[in-house]
Amino acid sequence: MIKKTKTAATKKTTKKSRPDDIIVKVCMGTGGMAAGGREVLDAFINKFAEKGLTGTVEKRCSANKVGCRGFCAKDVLVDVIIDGKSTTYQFVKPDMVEKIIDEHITGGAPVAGLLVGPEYKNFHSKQKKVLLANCGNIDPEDVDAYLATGGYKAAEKVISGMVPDEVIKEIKNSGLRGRGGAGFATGLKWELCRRSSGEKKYLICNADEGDPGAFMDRAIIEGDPHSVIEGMIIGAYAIGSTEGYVYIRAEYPLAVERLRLAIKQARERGYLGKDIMGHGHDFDIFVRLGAGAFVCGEETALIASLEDQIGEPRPKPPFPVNKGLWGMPTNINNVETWATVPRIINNGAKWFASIGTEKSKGTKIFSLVGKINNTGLVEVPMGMPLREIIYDIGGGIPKNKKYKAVQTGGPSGGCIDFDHIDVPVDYENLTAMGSIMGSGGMVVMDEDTCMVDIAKFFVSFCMDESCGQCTPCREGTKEMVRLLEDITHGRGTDEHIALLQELCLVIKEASLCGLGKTAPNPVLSTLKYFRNEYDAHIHDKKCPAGVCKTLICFSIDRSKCTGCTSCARNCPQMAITGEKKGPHMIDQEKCIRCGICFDACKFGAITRE
Amino acid sequence: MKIKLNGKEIEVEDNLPVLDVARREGVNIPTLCYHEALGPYGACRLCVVEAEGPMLRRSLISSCTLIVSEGMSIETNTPLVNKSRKIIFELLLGRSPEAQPLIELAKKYGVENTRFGTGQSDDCVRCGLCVRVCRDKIGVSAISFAGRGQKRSVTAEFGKLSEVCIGCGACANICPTGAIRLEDRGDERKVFLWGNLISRQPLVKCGHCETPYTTERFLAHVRGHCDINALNVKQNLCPECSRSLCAEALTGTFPVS
Amino acid sequence: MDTKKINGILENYPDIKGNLISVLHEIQSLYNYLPEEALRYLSRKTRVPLTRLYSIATFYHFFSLTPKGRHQVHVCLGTACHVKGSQRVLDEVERRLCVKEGETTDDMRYTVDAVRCVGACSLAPVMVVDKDTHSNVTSKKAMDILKKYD
Repeated sequence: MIKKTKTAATKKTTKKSRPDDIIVKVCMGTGGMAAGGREVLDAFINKFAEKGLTGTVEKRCSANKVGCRGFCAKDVLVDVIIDGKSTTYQFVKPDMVEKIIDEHITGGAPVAGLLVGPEYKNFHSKQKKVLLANCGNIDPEDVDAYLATGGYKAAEKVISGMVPDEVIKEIKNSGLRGRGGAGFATGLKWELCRRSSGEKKYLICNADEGDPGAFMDRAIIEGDPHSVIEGMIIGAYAIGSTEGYVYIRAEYPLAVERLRLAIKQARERGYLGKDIMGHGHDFDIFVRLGAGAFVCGEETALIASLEDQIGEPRPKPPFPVNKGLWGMPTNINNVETWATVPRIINNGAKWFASIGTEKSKGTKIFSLVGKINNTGLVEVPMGMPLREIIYDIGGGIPKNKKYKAVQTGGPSGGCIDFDHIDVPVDYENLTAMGSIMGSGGMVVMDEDTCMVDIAKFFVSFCMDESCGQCTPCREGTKEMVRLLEDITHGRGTDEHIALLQELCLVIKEASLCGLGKTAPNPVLSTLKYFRNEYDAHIHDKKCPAGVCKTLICFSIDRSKCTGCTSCARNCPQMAITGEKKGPHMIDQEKCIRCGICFDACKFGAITRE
Repeated sequence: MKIKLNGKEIEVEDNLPVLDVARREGVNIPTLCYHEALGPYGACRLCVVEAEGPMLRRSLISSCTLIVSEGMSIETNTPLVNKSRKIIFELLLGRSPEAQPLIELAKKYGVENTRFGTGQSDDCVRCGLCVRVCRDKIGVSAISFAGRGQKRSVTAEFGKLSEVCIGCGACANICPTGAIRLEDRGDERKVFLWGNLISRQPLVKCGHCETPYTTERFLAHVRGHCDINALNVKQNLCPECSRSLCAEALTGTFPVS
Repeated sequence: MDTKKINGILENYPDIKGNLISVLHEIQSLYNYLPEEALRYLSRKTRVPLTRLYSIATFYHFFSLTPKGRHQVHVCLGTACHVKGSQRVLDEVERRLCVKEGETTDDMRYTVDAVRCVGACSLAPVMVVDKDTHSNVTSKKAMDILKKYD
């Protein structure tokens, strides 16, 4: 029995669903909302009222089960659950709602043409949903929905029945490693923080998910915010902290809103604040917004930001567990890590350790994006071969193009080429290949991706996001971009490569923080596995993938051109001339290689080389 | 405690930065953003050394921020350290190819050319000493870093003339490359940061020789921080006249009123 | 400069320590940018040196010291969007609106910015205008979308 605090609690209860209730779940994550989820939800509510039906329409978060963000590509996804049996519809629009209600809900026959297809099943069949179990299933704005799944039981178990060292031991035994990127043993970090001396200890949740291509933290906070709060409550108890902060990107307004609401609800129910659940421990969580600086994902820069400073990282040692926020011992963990904690407490360290590989336990959420059929968030046990993730779950490369590489770990990571596609995905294997797990981003690239351009993209990103404090990163990334620009513009030489390699070594070793130290990784990785592309740019002055504008040339194949004038009409530089129904021609002097004509031509008459 | 420096075992006290220990042992380590009067910053990365210890994985760490610990092993002259210094000097010279003190320091460590640079020349090496001395020692915060990354620069507020600068010149004094310059002309002092005027302050004249020698604000600042009964402060004497007063007060010949 | 409004914001934060960036967020929400006078006033009220406020305002990409347009156009240049050609979308928007990334059109209608990942990677290429997330944006579709925002 959970003891409530004395503050008046507004008890909001979800109607307990009866077996004969009809439940409709509408995806309302950012993806779902972008596709019109709110309108679809309203349509269901209105039609149900109009027709006098007693269905429950619940809001559903943006993650899995029905394509969280991932299968956002199929949004708006709607589950219709009757007698416990769930049927899923895709691409739902408000004007389809009446049909679904009349034919399926009232009439008993699902509307065949609107249902999800086999790729939907494939997407989910090999996944193992632990962290994303609730996402897409419960209303993230209803604490009672969380409680109904067993929420806050782990926190109660810990605070009422375990001592801090026991909790730490359990996390250590589980083998949980930080999911933010570095993969440091979470239990050990908690232990170091606990043993540190300081008059106050702080807890931080790093929700500054800056890796382009990664959105798992967002999905968790938008879809299951209480799981993060519960994890932090457990961590606070174990470490001896009374004050916690969630540092979250300002670019995630929906996540911020849901998190703030969840914290408010947790306080109302006595899970946060003074004397939590009546067992004497105090802990509260405060939300702090980032302000658009990728470097603030680095723990010491994050701390600086919380201290009203610019996001300048600080030299380590000392480490935050000893000297962190306001000089006090501080434990920082990533969103996924915190969300995993209640599951470990509920199901046991042994259970968690039974999933995954020897050194990488548990499941990991990957954001599978780019040139892949089934884009989205996938949660799989550590150690699953990359090939299975790409082909079985991801459905392979669109338009039958050839797989070229997967960039893992965002701008700090490296690429995995086809020869190594059977690599089991875990911390050690990815590192051995010159990449990293990072936050779990997986950007798939095909034959139309230029790897030199990709290297330049990532280094440009690091250059823009560099705080500017230390010489190797501030000046070095700028110089790397300049060298890569030369190469992609046909001005590269072998000396460029040699100098790039020297720069990479020094930037990697001598930079002050993780951003600088990992900035060279994409360059080193592409040089290792795609040296042939660099050579083509340098020696042949060609871009094999047809991306680098200066090295490509668009021309019209007169034998295929029908004179439809589509290209000429769309050309922003008016560089294409020709009579209607006659063959057209591109003026190479005016052409800016934007590729609009290439996309506009329906007859394949425009070649790019 | 015992540590190893370039293979040699030495005895050191607690809480010392590796940089201090190394220099004491006669080992040369270049620095740019380091100053004894200010805490370590670890920004320029010139002072990196290879360090390893029972709780420390072998890596390059700035010796100004690294505190000695039992069993630590430090190498200041490995190929990696030397390569890093070379490239870092080259990168600095890429931005500041005409900064004489930087050129000389680089030369001392064997770096005479740079393969970097965009043709521009900016003597400010972003060491942060000026910002830190103004903020932490003078307590005025007249200048700060603005922007981020390669666009980072030192300015007064909004890139305009500072409204709080006291014209003390601590920034110009501490700048390792001379990118900050004081210009005293007539009864005005101008502070230039690499060509940008960041402050203009009226100068006060010496109460004895009548040469303009310091700014009003700085005088007020000093008065607020020291014994206002000291004769040189009371009479508003310039350093020259203060020295004369001191020397001659000892011999009794300076006219003391 | 309505100092009452800024005082109102500060009342929510009895201690500025640890809350400075939150306060700046609120001021920016109020004015659509960080006006110089607002920062000067904030500095006087909180005794935080003005240069530090300026440093923070120019470090974090989110803050702007110049007024923004009526509509914020964010073209995502995150990895997933880049791989799907979002650079071309940005190029086209810049060309048609005659502004460069970070700038505002003369008529103050649009401010164009590149963002690195808004976390909607399955919808790539993504363009966010005000609070609306637009998916699968091509260089052709971009201007059609923008025209809808007056």
